[in-house]
Amino acid sequence: MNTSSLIIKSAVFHRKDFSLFADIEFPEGKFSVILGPSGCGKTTLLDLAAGFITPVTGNIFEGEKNVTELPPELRNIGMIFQTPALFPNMNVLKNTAYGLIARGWKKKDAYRKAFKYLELVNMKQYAQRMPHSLSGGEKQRVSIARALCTEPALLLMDEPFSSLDAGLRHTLRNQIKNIQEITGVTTILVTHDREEALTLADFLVIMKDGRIIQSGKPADLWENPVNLFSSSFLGRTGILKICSYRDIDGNNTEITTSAGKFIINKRNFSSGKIPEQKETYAVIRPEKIRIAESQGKTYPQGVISGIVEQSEYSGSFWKVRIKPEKTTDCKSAGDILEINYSGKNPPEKGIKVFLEMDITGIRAVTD
Amino acid sequence: MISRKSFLPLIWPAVFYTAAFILPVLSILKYAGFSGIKLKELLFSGYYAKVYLFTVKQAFWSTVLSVAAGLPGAWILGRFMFPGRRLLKSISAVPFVMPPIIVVLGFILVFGNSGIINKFIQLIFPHSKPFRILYSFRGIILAHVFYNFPLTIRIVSDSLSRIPMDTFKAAKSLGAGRIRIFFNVTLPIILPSILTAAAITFLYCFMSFAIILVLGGSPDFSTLEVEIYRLAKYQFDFSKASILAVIETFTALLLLAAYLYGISRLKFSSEESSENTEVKPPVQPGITGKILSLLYSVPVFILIFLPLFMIIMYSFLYRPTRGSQQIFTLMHWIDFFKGAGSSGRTALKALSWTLFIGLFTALNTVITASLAAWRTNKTAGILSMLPLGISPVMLGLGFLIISSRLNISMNLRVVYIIAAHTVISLPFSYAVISERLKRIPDRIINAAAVSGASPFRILTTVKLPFAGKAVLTSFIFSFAISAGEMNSTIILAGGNITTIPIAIYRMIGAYNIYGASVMASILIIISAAGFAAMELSREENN
Repeated sequence: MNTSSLIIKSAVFHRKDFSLFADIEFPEGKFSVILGPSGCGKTTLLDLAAGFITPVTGNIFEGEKNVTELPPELRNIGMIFQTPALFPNMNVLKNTAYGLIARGWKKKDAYRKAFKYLELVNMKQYAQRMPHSLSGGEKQRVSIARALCTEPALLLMDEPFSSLDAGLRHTLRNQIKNIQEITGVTTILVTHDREEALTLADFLVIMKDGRIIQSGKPADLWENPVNLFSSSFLGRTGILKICSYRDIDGNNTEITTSAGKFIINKRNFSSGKIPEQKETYAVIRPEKIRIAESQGKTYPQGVISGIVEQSEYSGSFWKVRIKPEKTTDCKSAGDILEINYSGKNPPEKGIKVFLEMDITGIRAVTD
Repeated sequence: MISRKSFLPLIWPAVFYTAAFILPVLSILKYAGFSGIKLKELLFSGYYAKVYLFTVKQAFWSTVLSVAAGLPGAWILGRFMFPGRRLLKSISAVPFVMPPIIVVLGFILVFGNSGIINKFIQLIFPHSKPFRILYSFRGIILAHVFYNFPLTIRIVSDSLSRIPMDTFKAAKSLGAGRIRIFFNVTLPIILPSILTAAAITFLYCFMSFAIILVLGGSPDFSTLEVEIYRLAKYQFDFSKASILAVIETFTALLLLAAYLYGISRLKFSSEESSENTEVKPPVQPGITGKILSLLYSVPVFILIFLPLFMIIMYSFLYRPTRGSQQIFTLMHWIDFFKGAGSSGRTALKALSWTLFIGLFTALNTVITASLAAWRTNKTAGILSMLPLGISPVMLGLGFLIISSRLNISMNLRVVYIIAAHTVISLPFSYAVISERLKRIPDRIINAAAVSGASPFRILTTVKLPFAGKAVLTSFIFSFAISAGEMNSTIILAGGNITTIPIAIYRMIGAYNIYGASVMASILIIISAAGFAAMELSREENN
């Protein structure tokens, strides 16, 4: 497959009371995922990538080729939508071969190739069936075959699993991931489901309000969120408001929160330095905190105390929310910590616990 | 649990339906079967074969041209955003609710020998001969197209605007250009709706009555429907009339079967579009699109409103002597309200009959439909649709046969008329009311039932109040249908019963265009109420 990267250069797009600004490179041959809440502009970004809309300013490149003004039918893309969007008047085979025939292929050759891709999605035996006789998952698999059949340079997917039930979603997700690995086509998938994003992405892009907040490898984004939104949108996170800083030795900084004082490395500031004026928060993932046997040494190792607010069973462990106890002059401002507890009986609501935090896992981020 | 009591409310609909629909149909079948006249004889008589062929021919051309005239409108409405789009959409429903006799009068005033178009032509070319279009094959087709092209606009634009956005995006992403998308995707998807519009138009024109009666005029331009009327009303030849009625219905059923077969071959499950998917929104057209939209919608506005405007205008005009100029006058309206003069008396009488028949029809329709919709079931739904399959003239013939067989007094004719009008309005009323009743959440009904309410009490205290708007809508609509209905009325009414459409028909025949215009203006107002009711129910269902 002749695949290429997709580069969106300073593209601006306006629609009514919404505007999008994007500057990003989706790496060649990788599975990229755009993650964001509804209305953040992720589908609009995908429409730009496909050519359904044209940016007011800026450029779009498929590899070296500037495709900004090229309509979708002249770009080399495959697209999968929320609904399978199969042509209701054509059978599975004709649907799959449609793109090739539109490109002037002979029917015979087009059908032969369509069969190959139907086989890839395990739908070969349904080739003569009409779309209305297929289940939701089967239809979506045909639409995958149809999108891949033209061997596009770029495969775009707009929440392709959102109309399927949980089990099917899981299966199809794995299939897509496998197919992407086999074909090596540059893929961009849009979703608001963070679990889906983390499972599928080689390259993850987080969006909010028409802007790209952060992009990179999922593990990097998980551990080094650039701001409070990025941190909490990706998954459960503890949040403590920082009310003051004290420089220790140029590399390390003491931060004060209502729950206590910690010394963290400057690298752990998302901006690389102490932010001025903006409100700053210390965020920490659940896996970086555990319940301590005893109070132990509090400063600067990062042991604090808190009251259990809620324990929620999630299958293999308990998700526990803890309200940190105020030990400094700082205002608490809704501080909360999350931990994973794998014991049989979770700590009961209302009791006091000591928490040992891995202070290298603390990130200081702005709002 | 269904108690025996819960079937009680169905008694009236069952009795009424049997007496007012099944019996007339059966009596026609009986007459047609045992009359001794052979079907062959009648069809090979030459005259009736000609009538049959003409009926099919005029319906065919009317359909082809109505669909052709409606398709650009459907495309514009489904695809473009332009000033007046909403207006075009709503006024495309106007001809549906206009009684044919209004269309006939409007056409005479616009396209007639001394209609506005000819006056306009003579103003420019004083010595030219008047442009003759009415009272000819062309006139019939023109009136049918006027009446039916909005149907294509509505049905096809609905189907166009329901195609999911993703379908177009998918085709584009696969490399299909505009033309390929149109032929491979759009056209196959909307084809069933075009076929539906064509089938309905054909049936309307096939059974068209008032337009043919007035604009056709001569035996050269007669249809089955008009022949049935003439045979029953003037020659009392119920046998021939019944045979023609059976032939007519049989042809209609054959067409319906062909249509259903065609649609089953063409129609793909609409499942995808019925999902809650984003559809392609109308776009701001480019300059060519804008010009095309205007070039289409402006003449459509004129074509639809000019006849109505002319009718209302003529109700305020008077020509004191032959050859003199027409002058503005309130005389006709004053005469009408005072019941003065012969046309004033006729008009007032016609209005009272129309109101009387209309109110009883609406009341009976609403009661029958509500009771029948009592337990929503498929059988009632199918039964309620059957009256659409037979023409009002045929229904009238059925009643005439029954009354002649049973020697029922002619004074009861008003009851027949009310019954016939009810049967005609029933399909719509039942659909509106039962659709609304279906939407009552089950738990509300269950809550009433566990509170100890009997099924009948639930109907009157929960279901019908819930469906209040739908009941009102169907009341107004039934009234409007009854007020404009002429086909069954003219066949059933003796000399003593005159409704507004019949009065208009007679006044046109007597060249009393001003008097006809006053009556028609009143009918336009009643039809406007029907139109409003229809729009209301559309909005409610959306």
